[in-house]
Amino acid sequence: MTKTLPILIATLILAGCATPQRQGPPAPVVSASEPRPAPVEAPPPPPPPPKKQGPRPVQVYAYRPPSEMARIPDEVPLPTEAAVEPTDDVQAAEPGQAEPAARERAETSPPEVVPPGMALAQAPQAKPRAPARPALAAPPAPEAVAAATASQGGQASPADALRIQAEQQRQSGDFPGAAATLERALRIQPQDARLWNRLARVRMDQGLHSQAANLAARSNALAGDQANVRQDNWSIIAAAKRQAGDAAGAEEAERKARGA
Amino acid sequence: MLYGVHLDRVVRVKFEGKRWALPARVYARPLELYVGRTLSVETLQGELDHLGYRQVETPVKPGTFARDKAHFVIRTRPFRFWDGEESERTLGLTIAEGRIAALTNAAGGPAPVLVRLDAALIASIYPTHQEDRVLLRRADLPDLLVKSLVAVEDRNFFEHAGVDPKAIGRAVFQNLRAGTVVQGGSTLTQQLVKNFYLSQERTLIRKINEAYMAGLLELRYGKDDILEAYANEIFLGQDGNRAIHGFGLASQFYFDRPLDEIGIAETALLIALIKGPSHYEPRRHPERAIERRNLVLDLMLEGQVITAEQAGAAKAAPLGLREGGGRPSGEYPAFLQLVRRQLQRDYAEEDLSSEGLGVFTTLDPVVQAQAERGIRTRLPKLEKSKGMKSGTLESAAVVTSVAGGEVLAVVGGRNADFAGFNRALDAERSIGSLIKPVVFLAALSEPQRYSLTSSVSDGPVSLRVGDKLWQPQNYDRRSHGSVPLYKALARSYNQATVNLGLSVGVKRIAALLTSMGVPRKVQVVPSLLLGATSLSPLEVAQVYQTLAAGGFRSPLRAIREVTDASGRPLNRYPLAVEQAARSDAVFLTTWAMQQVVNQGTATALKKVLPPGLTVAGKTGTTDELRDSWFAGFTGDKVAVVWVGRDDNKPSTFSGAAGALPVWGDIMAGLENQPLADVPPDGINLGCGGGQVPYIRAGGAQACGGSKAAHKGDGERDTEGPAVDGPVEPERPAPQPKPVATPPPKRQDNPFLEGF
Repeated sequence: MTKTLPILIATLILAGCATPQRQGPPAPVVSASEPRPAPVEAPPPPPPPPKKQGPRPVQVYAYRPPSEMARIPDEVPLPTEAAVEPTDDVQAAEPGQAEPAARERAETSPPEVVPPGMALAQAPQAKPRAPARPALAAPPAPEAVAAATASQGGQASPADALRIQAEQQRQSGDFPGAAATLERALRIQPQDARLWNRLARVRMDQGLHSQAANLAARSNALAGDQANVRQDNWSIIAAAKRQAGDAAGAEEAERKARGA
Repeated sequence: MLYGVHLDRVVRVKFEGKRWALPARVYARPLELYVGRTLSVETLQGELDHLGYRQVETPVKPGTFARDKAHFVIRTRPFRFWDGEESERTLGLTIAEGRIAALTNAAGGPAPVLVRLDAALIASIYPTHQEDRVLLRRADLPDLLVKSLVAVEDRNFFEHAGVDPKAIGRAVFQNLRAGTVVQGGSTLTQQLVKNFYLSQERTLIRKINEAYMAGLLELRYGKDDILEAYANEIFLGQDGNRAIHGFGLASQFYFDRPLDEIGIAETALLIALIKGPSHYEPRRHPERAIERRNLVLDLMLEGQVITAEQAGAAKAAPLGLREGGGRPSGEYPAFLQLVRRQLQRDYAEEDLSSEGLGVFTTLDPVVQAQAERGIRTRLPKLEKSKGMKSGTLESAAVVTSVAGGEVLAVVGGRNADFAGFNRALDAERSIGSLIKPVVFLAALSEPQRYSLTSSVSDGPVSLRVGDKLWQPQNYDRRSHGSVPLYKALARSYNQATVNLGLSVGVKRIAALLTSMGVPRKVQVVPSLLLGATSLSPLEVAQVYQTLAAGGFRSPLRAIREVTDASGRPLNRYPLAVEQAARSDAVFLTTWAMQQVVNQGTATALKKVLPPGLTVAGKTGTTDELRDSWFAGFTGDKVAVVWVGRDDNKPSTFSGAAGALPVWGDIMAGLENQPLADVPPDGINLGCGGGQVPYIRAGGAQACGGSKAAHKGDGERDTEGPAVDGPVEPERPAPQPKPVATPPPKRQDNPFLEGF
């Protein structure tokens, strides 16, 4: 206990002769509780006045860590889906194959009528607070890209590799991860209708119907003659319309989804 | 005794809180590498330089690379992105013909498809103080540093209980012998306390307080905690009004390298600075710094941290100072202002002011540098051409991505490093003819009434405004009679635009402008048709992004992700799209905007841009040539340039003469994709023999009006001045001949439009 000796001595001395201690933080301390200085610059322009079709301010979705997403049981895909290896050939068939489950989910869910303007029900309109920090470590590195190599002779395109990775993330219920991966792919190939379609599907799975339909429409505008991509887009639009209570519009979209 | 308890509490609170007192780190976009990517040798070299990679013979350490002409071997740094970690690897990369021709794993194993380099740190956001820091964990501290630190500053650190009586005795003896203070006996713990809590007075009472608190600290916390706090806290220099605390930041500040990449000589210099950062400031007092560093090297040798050989080599080494790194506070002020605003808009204040967030932005340093260069080099030429005094003109530019609405570059003025008035965000100027594509888009959204070849009358317009007559003129003061719609846009005919806009309805055009992303109330007056509304370059970029993305507006964003101090994502700024206009009508409008470049007011661009790069754009000029604008896009980038004067006096430049060459300089130096050539549903390419596209379905007549008459002649600048101020129509202007009866068509469902 040699440690306590100097402390004891110091305590005794200090009990007698105390110097005033600084209460505030010393100069370099950044206090988290202190308010931020008022911005010097003018505040950002006010949002546009609400109107029927008026633009919405940036939607910011509260982040949900993949670990939490995975715990939601009904978002965990069927094993058969997970087994789908989305190569290009399989990918072509995928909208017909992997989607019915999602579509059924959307259709069999109670016809909850969401006003069009409120369709982004899951998206908090207010400033999202930082979610409670998960105790778990950060998401593991997506090794899929690193692993996806140009091995099979042909040149794997980076956007394809990312799309495959995103599909794996989506099927394992990691929707934010899948969306982030698809956005990364879209930065490389912004005019790829299939990437937009996949992002629409992820938003659909997240329950963000209105945004999913917007993304599907964006995909349609780029799809050219890719019939399977178009049909899947229409099925997304149809589901979103049904969610929004637009039965006639949904039927029309479903007709197009069938390729009519 | 009570006082002792009080101090104990102070120690605890300060120490615990201290460990998280970190500013947010702001990063640029990471560079993506994959085979086929357009990338010049210079761009890659520039990126590596910017990231502080060092060129060496054989890259072994992370953050080094070797280069043989166009072949690179890069030892990348591991980096934690929001979506996972990019691991350290040895990358072989060959560039041929301006593209990545090969990407290999130089350490053996399968070739990677896609690799991200680490993201460049561009700023730290200090919420309350001008303070910066690079947080280091105990495990991040290099062994060499720890051993040297102990050898030099506190030999018994791992044994003592906060104070070291032996060291004090030794110091007292040395000081008495020298007759002055030559040596201190403070332990690292005492130094930490001094840095943490106390003012700079030198009294016995303070020394005792210090010793007491050091003892408390040692009781409460382990040696590793104290060492970690010390390494992050120690004051090591001053950069303007920015205090350099901690070894991590100091390493960046002095050597432009992370701490784990520095050698013996550099480590010794950092330790040398502890004694007096300003006295030994190596940039100002290199001799003193070298002397002190060599003394530290002797102590390191004495403490058997290094060998005599190593000490000798390090003593012979230069200081190794490097500029550029760790000094992010001055760079990209205009872009960072946008980042700050979007953070403040979308995040809660308390989340931003603490905990060392990582802010991953959309800034592309290559695009930013090109945009700055374009303005910096072109403005003096413009001034010279008109015999203006240097510095008369000002300018601003915004470059965004088409697909995601990501802001790639923001230039707030011709002196881009100056954090002054940010014209890109805050200069609201009349947009003049930049509005015309919106007028034409509104018309073309009614395919039953208008096609690109519909005739529109470019004839005199006269409206009573209050008790005055509003009679807009064309730039060449002539009327051109009946002209096809697309040509009216390409030539920027004012009278034709006003006639067309009045028949479509000013209200509808104002509504379209709003849905395309203009966040302010637009006055519904006829002069709006000629751009009598004031917008900032950023707002214009939003409108043109919507056009460029086929009518799908993505809110412009400067932030991709925000992570907490340990790299976990907090909130997503997702890519969001909203359909603001019909894709087919946007396609036609874009086609007409291509004619602006092919045969209209922007033909000068053809000489600058690489062949095969299709672009669409529009010039804008305002009343008395005050503002000169050019806004346009390629397949993947939108750029908006404004040139004018801060005092709002005439700049004497039309859009084609001022902003257009700047725009051309910027875009010609960037990698660009051509415009998408896949037309959306319902578009028929080629009308008659004229190859003018039209909307197939729904529209009553395929090719309306006079068929693609009036072939291009001459390349006159036909900009006309816009008119400011509200005006009221007395009587409707003559209607252009409608091709079919106009059925009322409202946009009821944004995503059903166009199908």
